[in-house]
Amino acid sequence: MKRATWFVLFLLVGVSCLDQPDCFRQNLNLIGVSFKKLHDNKVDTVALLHVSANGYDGEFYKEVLASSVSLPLNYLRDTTEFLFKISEAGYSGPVTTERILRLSHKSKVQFVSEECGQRFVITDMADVINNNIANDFDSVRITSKTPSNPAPNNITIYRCPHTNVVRLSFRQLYMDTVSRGRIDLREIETVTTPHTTLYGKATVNTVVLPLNTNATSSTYNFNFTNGDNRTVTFGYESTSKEILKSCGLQNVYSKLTTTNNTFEFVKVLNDSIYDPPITNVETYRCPTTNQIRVSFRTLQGSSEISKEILIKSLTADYLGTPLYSNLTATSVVLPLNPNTSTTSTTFTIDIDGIGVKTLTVNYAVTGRAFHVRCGEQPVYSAMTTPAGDATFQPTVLINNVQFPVVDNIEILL
Amino acid sequence: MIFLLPLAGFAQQSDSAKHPVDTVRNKFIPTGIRVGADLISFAKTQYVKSFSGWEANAEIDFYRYYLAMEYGTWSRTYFPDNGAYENDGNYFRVGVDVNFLKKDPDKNVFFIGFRSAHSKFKEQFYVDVIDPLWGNQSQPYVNDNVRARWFEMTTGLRVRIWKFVGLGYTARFKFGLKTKNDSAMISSDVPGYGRTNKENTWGFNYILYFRIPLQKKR
Repeated sequence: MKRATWFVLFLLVGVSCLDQPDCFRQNLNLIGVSFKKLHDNKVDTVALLHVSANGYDGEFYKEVLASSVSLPLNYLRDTTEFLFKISEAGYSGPVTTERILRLSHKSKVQFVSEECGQRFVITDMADVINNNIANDFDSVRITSKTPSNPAPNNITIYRCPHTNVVRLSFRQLYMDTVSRGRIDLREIETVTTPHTTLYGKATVNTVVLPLNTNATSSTYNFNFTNGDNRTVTFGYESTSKEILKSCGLQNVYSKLTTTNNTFEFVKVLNDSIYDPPITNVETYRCPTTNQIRVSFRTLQGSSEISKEILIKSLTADYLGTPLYSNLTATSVVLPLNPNTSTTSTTFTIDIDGIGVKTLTVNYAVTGRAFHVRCGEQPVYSAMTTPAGDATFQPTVLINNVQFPVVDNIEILL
Repeated sequence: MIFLLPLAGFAQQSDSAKHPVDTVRNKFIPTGIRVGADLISFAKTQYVKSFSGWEANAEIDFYRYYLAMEYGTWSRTYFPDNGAYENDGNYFRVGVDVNFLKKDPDKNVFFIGFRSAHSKFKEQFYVDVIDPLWGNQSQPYVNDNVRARWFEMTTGLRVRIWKFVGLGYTARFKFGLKTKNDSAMISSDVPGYGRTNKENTWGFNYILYFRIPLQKKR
């Protein structure tokens, strides 16, 4: 009896150990496609307007910037054809190109379980080139023939170098002798060519500009949000050259020059075009040497705090039009008279609730050429202001003009 | 196994005092043949809807070494929501066991062994694929002539419970599976081995056997 009991126990244990597989990810059919540049093997960011496939009505990607994508192979067929619509900036407007990636593969089905159903396994993926149907990309390399889920990196698509893109950077000069100044972050409203808008609202210190491949010059208009408008025209030469064998002959642009330029100063650093674009051209802004900041404060108890006031109008004695009208602010930036023969500037301020007040700033002014390209500029020092009245008491905090502007004068209201 | 061992040891101790075993003369002449059937296959056929099969085995001893052969059939049927899968085939194993109870007068056996296994089967899978990207497809997939082979490490026990009747078990570690077919379907289940998604797997048989003596008991 004892033996029979143990035998039955082992029988039950054996029967209970039935084999059920786990529901792992079905349909291992995802491929990873990455984009790189042929000439330096570095990652390329592509503007994809649309990625779809033959046999599928929808789209996998729409209007995205991507350096890699994950795409599903059609496991119900032996080939999958992907259509890529790519946008690239052009001088006359965005250039849309359609590229096709054709892949062949073997698809096998496997029963998984009653709960999971079936899965499809794809292997032996290959580029379809054996039927004289070439893929339209410059170069395609299959790094792994086996899709999976999630997608590994299976395919790298290479593009030939762009030979017509110029990089222009903005730099700011200061009241020092550093000849290249520093990077200048500019608030752009638009950058346009005669045909299209290349940039909308953006805050940048550099822009990339496509050259007009149908001409030997290209003109760009810059509208900055501070109302500044500038234009620059590039001249260049074009020669036909084979940079990479697989890219064939390409038009290469060089001998870049600038003409018809309204920036304060423009310098060509590199007259040849590279991909990725290096800084070909730098524009410079000279320092503003006559601006002071006046801040408004009031007493609260025994301490001073910032005071926001409504300035109905603010004029300078040497200007015919008001500097500010109906401005609510805690401080204002005021330009001293740039004429180096005068040693004072008087500002008339109409403050709501206080009345019309006068701020006279006395100073010593000399001319100095910090940068040859900026010429001689006035330098203000030893600033003083007469005492005001009980409702308007100006005090000089920093008695020389600096760039960028600093809090030079404080007015206690 | 641990619970069965003392029983075999007890019998050995009581008989060996009366009948000392001749360990030298004609030791490699077979003393008997065991033929048996797997009870688990029988129980699964009765109680598991998706399984049908049986397995028989035979062993012949050469001193402490046993030549073992096993033959079985099995078929499985599954009904996922979108189709039906079935396979049907047979398998054959042959191998050698080494007995570690060589002096047991009841010829009880505790062994460790090795098997080479082969299977031949067919399978078919009818599936309705509904895919939101690529559309729908209904198609039968058939593997008509699939062959598989694998290896096993085995261990087990054979214990006489009454005259020529005994019970035993075999635990199997199966590995090295290779299947050969040229169709568009990957094999899912191999008769004798089990599911193909695992590189190795375990198996267990519970055996009712009859021992046919070939020599008179001394």
